[in-house]
Amino acid sequence: MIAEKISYDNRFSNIHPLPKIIFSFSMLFLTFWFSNFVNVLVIVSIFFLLFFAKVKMTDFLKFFLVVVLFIFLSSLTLFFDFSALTVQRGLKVFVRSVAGTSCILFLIFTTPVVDIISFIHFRMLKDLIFLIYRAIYILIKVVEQMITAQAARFGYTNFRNTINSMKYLMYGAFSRSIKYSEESYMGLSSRNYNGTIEILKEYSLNLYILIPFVVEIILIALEVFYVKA
Amino acid sequence: MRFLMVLLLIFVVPSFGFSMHIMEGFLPPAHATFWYILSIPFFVYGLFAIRRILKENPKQKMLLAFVAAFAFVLSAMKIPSVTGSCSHPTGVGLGAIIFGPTTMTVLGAIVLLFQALLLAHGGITTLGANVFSMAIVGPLVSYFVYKLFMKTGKRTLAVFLAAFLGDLFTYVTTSFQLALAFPDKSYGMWYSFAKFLGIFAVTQIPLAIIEGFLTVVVLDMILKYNEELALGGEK
Repeated sequence: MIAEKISYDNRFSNIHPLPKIIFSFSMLFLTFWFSNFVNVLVIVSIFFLLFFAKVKMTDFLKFFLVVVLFIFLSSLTLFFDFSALTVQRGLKVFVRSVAGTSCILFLIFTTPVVDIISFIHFRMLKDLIFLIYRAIYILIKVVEQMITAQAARFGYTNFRNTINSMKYLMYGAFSRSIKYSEESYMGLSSRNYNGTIEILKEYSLNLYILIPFVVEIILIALEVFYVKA
Repeated sequence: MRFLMVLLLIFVVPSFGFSMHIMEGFLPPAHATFWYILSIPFFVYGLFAIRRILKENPKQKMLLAFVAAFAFVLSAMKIPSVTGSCSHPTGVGLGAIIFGPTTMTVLGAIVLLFQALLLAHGGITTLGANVFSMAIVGPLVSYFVYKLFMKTGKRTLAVFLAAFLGDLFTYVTTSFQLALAFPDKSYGMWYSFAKFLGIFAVTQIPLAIIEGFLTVVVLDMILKYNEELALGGEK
């Protein structure tokens, strides 16, 4: 959840989300075409861009390393077959996956999720997604408090105990969900809720946003003229 | 020797990377598109189902939102665990039993999208594949197993099997998707399928049993305290 906090507070966060979405998605699709070497450069350039956006590097690195470890362990299976070592395949998928994830991380760290949601134009889905987004934060707080309370009362100490605590946690979270859903409906309907939620936001335009695209063009040029040639 | 390595892998990998999410960029473009196309009809059907529910009772919108958030939070929270890996229940089986399978497809897809956008877990290109295994196959299996075994009249058994098999089939589908994308060099796809199944089995089978058990007790508690809700879903 740290990513969501940072996304509100950096150089890119007030810029209109469309160019950021275009950049990260086009980069993501290009990683399938890029060779390993350029994909590594993609990762490096995302680091550079986030550094330029004044994202705190220690926070980003912590997040990044966990994700990379996760990708590495999932891709470990691709290095081996019953018949042969397939190092090349494993390496290619691993690098591509890390590069693709970095592109999404750029979007995550520079764009608040609400901005991305406001791009969905299908009313019912947009409302539902927005309400889910809001509900997530309410429930996270509740579940965190419950886990602390359980741990303080010797929950989660051994296997049997853990299962038992999880049972109460699940039921607690579920019954709270029902309670909060009723309450938030009351709250919204008392404020004239008619089934649509408007997201209002002002964006500024800034020339900084050209920098990611310049980087992207350089990477494409590198692939075409240097690696493929 | 190679066989030993694969065997070793079976014991090393799952204790860390147990999750069934296929990460960003794992699937080749053709496969990713294929799973997207396969998932879309279910998603659209689910949207119609939700619209029907909301027409009957607009209040349900909040409830649906909180159920999706419930599934997200349970999968995102690091619940302290004695085994070391952070095992967690998913609650998708529970939702499928109460709200029906296609509703869970839409909610599951949104949850997976948020997991990609808030936690960088899963991915945008592999969203179609993940939705297919986790939000379509899982809930469908759960729902039909529940319906089938409810005919015998034993609710505990029906709920346990629904959640257990829902989880199990999710992981079988994920293994199949990976095997299809990365077949074994000389033995072909089915060997690769067996490899992925074996690797995930070590954590997924115990997790599925735990999930089944938890769903039984949680649903019991829900039925005890919120009768009108559970009756509404069993129609």
